[in-house]
Amino acid sequence: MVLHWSVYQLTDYLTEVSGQVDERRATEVAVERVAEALDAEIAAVAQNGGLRCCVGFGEDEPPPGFARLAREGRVLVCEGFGTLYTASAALGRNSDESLIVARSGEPLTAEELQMLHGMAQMLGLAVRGIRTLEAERTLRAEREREAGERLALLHVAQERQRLVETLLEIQRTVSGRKPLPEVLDTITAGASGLFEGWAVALVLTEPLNPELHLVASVFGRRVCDDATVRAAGAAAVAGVRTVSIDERARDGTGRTLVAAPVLVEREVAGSLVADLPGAPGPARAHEDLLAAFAQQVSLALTDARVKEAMHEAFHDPLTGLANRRLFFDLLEHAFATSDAGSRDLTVVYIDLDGFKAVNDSWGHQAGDDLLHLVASRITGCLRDGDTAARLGGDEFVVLLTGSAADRGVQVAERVIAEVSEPFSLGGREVFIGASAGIAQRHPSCTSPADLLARGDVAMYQAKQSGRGRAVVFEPSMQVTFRQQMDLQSDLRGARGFDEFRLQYQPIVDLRTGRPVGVEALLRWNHPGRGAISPTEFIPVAEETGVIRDLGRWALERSARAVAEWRRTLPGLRLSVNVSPRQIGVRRFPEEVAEILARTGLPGRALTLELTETALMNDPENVPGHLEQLRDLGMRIAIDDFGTGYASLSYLRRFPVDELKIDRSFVEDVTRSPNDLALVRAVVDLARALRLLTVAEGIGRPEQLSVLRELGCGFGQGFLLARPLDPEDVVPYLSGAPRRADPTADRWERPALPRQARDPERQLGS
Amino acid sequence: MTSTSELAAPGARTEAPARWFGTGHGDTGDIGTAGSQAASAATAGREASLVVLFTSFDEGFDRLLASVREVVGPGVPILGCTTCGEITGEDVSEGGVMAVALGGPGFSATIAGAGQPSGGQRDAGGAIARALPRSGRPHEVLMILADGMVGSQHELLRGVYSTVGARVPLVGACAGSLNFRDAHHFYDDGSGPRILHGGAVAALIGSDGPLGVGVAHGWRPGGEPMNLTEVADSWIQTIDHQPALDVYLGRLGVDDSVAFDPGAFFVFAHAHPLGISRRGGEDIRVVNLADLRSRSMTVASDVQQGAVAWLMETDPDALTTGGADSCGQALAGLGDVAPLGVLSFDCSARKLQLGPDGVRREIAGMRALTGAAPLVGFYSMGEIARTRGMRGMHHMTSVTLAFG
Repeated sequence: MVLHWSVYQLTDYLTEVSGQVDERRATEVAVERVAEALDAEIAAVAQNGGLRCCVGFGEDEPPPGFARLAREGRVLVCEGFGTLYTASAALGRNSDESLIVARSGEPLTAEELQMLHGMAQMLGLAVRGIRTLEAERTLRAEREREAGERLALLHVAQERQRLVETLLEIQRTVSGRKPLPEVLDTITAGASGLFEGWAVALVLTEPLNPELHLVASVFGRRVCDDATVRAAGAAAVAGVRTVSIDERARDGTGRTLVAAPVLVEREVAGSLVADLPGAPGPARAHEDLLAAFAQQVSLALTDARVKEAMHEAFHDPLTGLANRRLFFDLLEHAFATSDAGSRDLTVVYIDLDGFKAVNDSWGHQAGDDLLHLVASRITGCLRDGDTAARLGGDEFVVLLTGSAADRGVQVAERVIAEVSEPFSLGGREVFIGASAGIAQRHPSCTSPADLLARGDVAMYQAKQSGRGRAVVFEPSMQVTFRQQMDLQSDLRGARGFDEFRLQYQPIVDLRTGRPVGVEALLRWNHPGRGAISPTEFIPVAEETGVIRDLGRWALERSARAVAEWRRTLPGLRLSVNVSPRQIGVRRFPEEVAEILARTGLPGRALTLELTETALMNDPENVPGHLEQLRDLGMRIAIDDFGTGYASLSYLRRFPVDELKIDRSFVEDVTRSPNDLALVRAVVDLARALRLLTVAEGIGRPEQLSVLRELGCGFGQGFLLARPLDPEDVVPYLSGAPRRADPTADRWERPALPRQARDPERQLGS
Repeated sequence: MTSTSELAAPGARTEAPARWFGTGHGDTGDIGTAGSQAASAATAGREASLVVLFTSFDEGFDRLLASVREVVGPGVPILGCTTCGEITGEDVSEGGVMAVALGGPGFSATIAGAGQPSGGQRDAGGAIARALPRSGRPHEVLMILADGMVGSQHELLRGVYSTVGARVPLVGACAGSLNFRDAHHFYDDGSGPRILHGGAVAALIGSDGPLGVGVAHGWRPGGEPMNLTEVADSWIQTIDHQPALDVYLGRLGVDDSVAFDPGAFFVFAHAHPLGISRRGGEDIRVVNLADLRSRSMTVASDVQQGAVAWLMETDPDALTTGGADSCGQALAGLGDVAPLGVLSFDCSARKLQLGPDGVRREIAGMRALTGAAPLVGFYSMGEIARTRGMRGMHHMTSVTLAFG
């Protein structure tokens, strides 16, 4: 069996056939090589019901009607051969000559048939070239004295040589494992060169939507625009034949579009279109030449490797969705074919929430698997005609055409709901989310890229407004978006951390009112914009990955400071926030240990605060890390408890010491029965699990009163103490009555005998 | 030694025999004496339609033909070639003459020969085939004995095929010699002895009984397939777009030192041939020269750019079984008809690899299939068998022709 080697053989074949001096010898060589390549007993050129240049029958006459039956591809039973499977291919469009083969035992495969067609095309080209040359030779003999003939002969010979060289170059490119775009560009450039530099375009149909015609490669001076070229390509695809379209422009000039179909395994996959100037009229020579090149494209695309490359060129290998290039082609096409004033084009820009933590913690393979699953869920939310693509990373986009205005929102909300359901990865449950931006075409929308950018802006707004949301684009968002982009850029540029500083907010024992520790709070003093709120820059730092370095810097800086202050305030504790992207880092526990060693802060004086999301994102690795940190004596606090994916089972599973009640619940604890109930539940839960509770954002006396009544042990907030600059911490905490109490012992997990015997904990640290 | 088989004509089972296949071996005295001895034994006084001679003598072919002519009488076509050893039926002879004679009214044969004309091997093949009229008998085979010391035997076969077509199977081998340096082929169609260089001698044999052809080599594909991405005139320049020699040696886990000595490399390469993918299996191609500077290599015989190839592997048992497999295929081609005799064309490289004991085991395996029918032949430098498609050149292969 011939295994995917037609393109290499064709190079050899073309070299040998085109190197023959006359038509008879070229044809003899061609039929013998065809028989050998296809392991066929018989090969011949058939013409007018007869055979010429036949190999395989020897000096015997072929059976009556053999040429006709073989041209029809019949299965024949022939004396001396048994069953013969026949196949044929014309030597060119409208040619009455065919290359035929007959093989005993088994019919030709699709790939072998494709090669037969390629060999027939090449033989046709070679023979026509030789005939022209021979005709010119005859002419020259007749007009020997005419000096101009010599030049004409030279010209024809050069043309033939150029054609052969161009085809050979294409074959070399195909067989040379060049990247697909380069292969396609070589074909269009080669064809263009033979059309005196006028443009030749390769138009391919999108496999998922054969109605769409994409200009995959174009080379040369252009006469027509993309849309006209696509239309000509579509005509060749529809008719599965070479077509010539003559047009006369308004200025009276003429132009001709010649399009030849490109087939992949006998399916029409696109067309090659020559975009030529000049007066309308039939152009048989152009059609034949273009058809020969289209045959080359067919062979190139039929090659298994190239087929794969073609798929890869237009699809995301991870998810199978359209890739950025294909999506832009489709978007441009949709944009071009829809009315500028219409609003029937919508993009939904989707970005995953929490994906990076999964990727960082569980590795890229898990990330890849997750993206694949997400893609399935997204496509499950779509209808026929909608297009989903992965733009890169964890960004997806959906293109909706001809839809009502609110369908974008419906699709976005459905995608968000689907993605928020847990994923099963290697037997583990993984939780992520999605944010979506929706942008609909508007008369003010200047380009496809503009429409997509609006979707991006809306998606960013969705992220900023709390994630897991679908937000429809509004023009005002662009200002905010630009600011955020500036922020990202500035944050990346501020890696020396000179612009950052730390403040320390005391954490107070609510029963005694005495401070027992401080929480380190990060501040950014932007050189242009002044102080920027952490709620603004922390998500950006998370998004960009800067948070890892920033978090490490904050921990080291604060640990060093608190270690120093503990000389004056021996029981003082430090609480530091840890980002989800930090905790998953493989060496995180070791990094913390190294920082403690460098700064001299005992592990038992440190509390690391993590959000629920950080725990949920990586329930496999995080427990191990937390155990290691606990072994160093540290405590683990759940920050903003109640705002995330609260799951009691996780509280039992993770080695948690504290729950921090989010400020949003504390804010309304005196006004909202629901929030009161929730805070009560958290405190009761903590008591049941023997966890400490810390209420955040206590700003009013009545809040403090309620929290004390509920039994919440500790708190922080403006009412108790504002964040302090480093130089103010020791003076403030040393002052009476609010100072760290070296004898206090409540700042510990309740009723744990081990802790009670711990001298450090006896100091209330 | 002599051995003869005869087969009664249909309907005359108890009457005069119709076809016979006789063999004889001579190894006494000079080449003329040995030839006379062999021919006498093969014909046993009967009028032969064809006499075929295989010899590992390295000179005196005029004398050989003359002495055999004296035995078989005028007009009987005689042809033959030199060998790397003759298969005598029981064992292997080196330095003798093996004669095979076909006769009886159910056999006919014409012979022709052509040295290498200016048009090359292809023209020689065409000339030979045109000189051989079809027999008109129901079964035919064109037996070719070509020169194993010149290249492009595949071109010779192209020339033959273009003339006789697919209806006549092509069988035979390339002449060799014990010293692997010279090869001769010769014939006498009644007009006097002719000794040729290049080209081939051939006999078109017509038979009323069936003829069977077998081809096997005992090698199997190993590892991943490779694509011969650049090939020019049997020079393999790249495999999978990498320098061919790097791929070949790399796959075998050896370095350049294996190719420093061409003789040692020849032996090494014969143990690691390439197999070219064909519809009916793999055609063996042996790397016979490595160019360390250009990192390319040559193979004996034709190989086409774009071909899919494997590094072939085998083991002593599989190699030994190759002969029996080939013989079994040939006998299967006879259908229910018992064999009159069997000709074996076995590669000399296989003989080297099998060693004396392996050769004896291989012959014993073939004889177990042929039964009483004589089994003779020779060790060659390239084998010919075309039964399907157009190609017919083989290497490191056992080709068998059975006469029924």
